[in-house]
Amino acid sequence: MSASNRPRDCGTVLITGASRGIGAAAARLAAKRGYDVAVNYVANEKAAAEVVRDVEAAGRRALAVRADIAREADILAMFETIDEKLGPLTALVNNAGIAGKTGRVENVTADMVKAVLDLNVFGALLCAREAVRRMSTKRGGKGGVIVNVSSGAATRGSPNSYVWYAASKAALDAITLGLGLEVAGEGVRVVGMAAGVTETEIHEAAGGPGRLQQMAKMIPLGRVAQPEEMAEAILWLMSDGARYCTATTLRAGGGL
Amino acid sequence: MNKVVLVTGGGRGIGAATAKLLAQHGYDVAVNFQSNLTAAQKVVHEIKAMGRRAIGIRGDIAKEADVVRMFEAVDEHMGPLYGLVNNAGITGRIGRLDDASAETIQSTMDINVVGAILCAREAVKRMSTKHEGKGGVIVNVSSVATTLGNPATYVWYAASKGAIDAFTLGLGLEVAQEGIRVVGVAAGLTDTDLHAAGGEPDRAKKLAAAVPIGRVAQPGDIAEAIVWMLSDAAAYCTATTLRVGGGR
Repeated sequence: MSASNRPRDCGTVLITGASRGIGAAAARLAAKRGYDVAVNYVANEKAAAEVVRDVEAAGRRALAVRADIAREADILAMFETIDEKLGPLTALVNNAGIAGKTGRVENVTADMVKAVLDLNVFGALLCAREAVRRMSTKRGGKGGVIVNVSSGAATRGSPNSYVWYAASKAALDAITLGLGLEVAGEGVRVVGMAAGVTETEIHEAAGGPGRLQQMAKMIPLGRVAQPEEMAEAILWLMSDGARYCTATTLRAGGGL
Repeated sequence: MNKVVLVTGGGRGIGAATAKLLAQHGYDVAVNFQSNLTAAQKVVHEIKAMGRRAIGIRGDIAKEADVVRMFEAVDEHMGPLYGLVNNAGITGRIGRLDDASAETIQSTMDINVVGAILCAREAVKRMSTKHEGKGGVIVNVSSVATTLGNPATYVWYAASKGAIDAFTLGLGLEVAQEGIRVVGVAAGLTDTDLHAAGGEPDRAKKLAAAVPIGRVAQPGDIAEAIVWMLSDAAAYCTATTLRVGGGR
C-alpha cells in the first residue's frame, strides 16, 4: 500500500467479544479504516488469533487479550495490557454479549439471568468506566467514542424467547443515553448500535439449529443481517462523520 | 452513470450541505428550491464544478402539481432516481399555540407532512421493484423536536415531525421487500436560516449552551448522517430514525 492511499491513523480501538460474529467483523473493518485493534476474547483463542492475523495483514497492530467481561479484575487487567502494548485508547466497542438459552421467564434459572446481566450490563458499564477514565478530557485524555452494541430486542421485549436479554439491552440503551449526557462536554461520544438478527453463533447457542431461518421470516427486509453490515454501522458511528451523534442508539434491524 | 438523488429544499441549510456532500460522494443531484433561485444556482454550480451533474428545480412541495412536475423533470433531465431526501420544511413563526394562526399550522403541515408524503409516493412509484424500479433510499429529515415537543416555540412543528417519524416507520415496512429503504435523520439544533424564518435569527446561538455536546450543529454534521444513510453501508437500516442531536 502506498503512503497516499493508506487510511489515516485512527488510534486504538478495543472490541470486546471480538473473536467471533459482529465483533470479529468490526475488528477487521476497523483495521481497514485505520485503527489498531485490541481483540478481546474469553475462550476461543484460535478464533481471536485469526482476527489478529487479519488485522495485521491490513497493516495495523493487533493484540489478542483474554478477559471475562463479567469480572472486574479481568477488565482492569485487559485495559492495563492495552495501555502498555497498544497505547492510548480512542474507541471502545462494547460488543461482548450473550442471550442465554431461549425460553419463557417462568422456566429460567437465576444463574442464567445473572450470567446475562453480568456480561451484557455490568461488564459493559465497567468497560465504559475504564474507557472514560482514559478518554475524558477532564482526566487529561484526548476524547474518544464508545459504541454499545445493543439489540432491537430492547424495544420488542422478546417474549417467549429471552425477556432477560431484552432487559439487558434496554439497560445498555439507558447507559448510552445517561453516560452520553454525562461525558458530552468531555470529548467522549457514547452511541448505541441496535443490531438486527445477524448471522452469528449467538442464535443457535440460544435456540438450537434452525432458529436463524425461523427468525428471518419475521424480518420486514426478508433476510437476516450479515456481521459485516453491523460492522459498517459501528464503524460509521466511530467515525468523524458521526461527530454530532451522541447519547443515542442507531437501529440497524432491517425494519424489525 | 452516477446515482441520482433529489434533495427537496436543497438551496439552503441542511439541504444545500447534503446536496454538496452527495456530489463529493459521487452522486448526481437534483436541487429543489421554492423561491431562492440564486442560492439554488450556487449549489448547482458547486456540484457541477465537482464534475457531477446537477439541476435546480423550482417547486412548492406543498402543491401536488409542483411535486409531480418536479419528479417528471428529474425523469427527463437526470434519469432513474436512486434517492430522495425529504428535507424541505418550515417551522412557522415561533410562539405559543394560543397565539398561532391556522395559516401557520396549516402551512407547516402542508409542506412538512403532506408534501413529504407526496414526494415519497412519487419516489416509490419510480423506485419500487414492484413497479419495475431498481430500488432506492428515501431519507426523511426529522427533528429532535419529536421527543422534546418544543413547548412555547412551535408545538405544531414538533407534531409535524412526529408524523414524519411514524411515516418513516410505516412506509419503511410497506416497501421493505421492494428494494426501498426508508430512514429518518432527526436533526438537532442546527445553524441555518430556519430560525430567522421563525422570527428568532439568534435561536441557535442562544440555545447552544443547552446542548450537551456544547455546540449547535453545522449543516454538514447533519448531512454526514443523511449521506451515510443513503449509502450501501446502511443496507440493513430501514423504517427507523437516527437522532443526530448532540445529546439533545
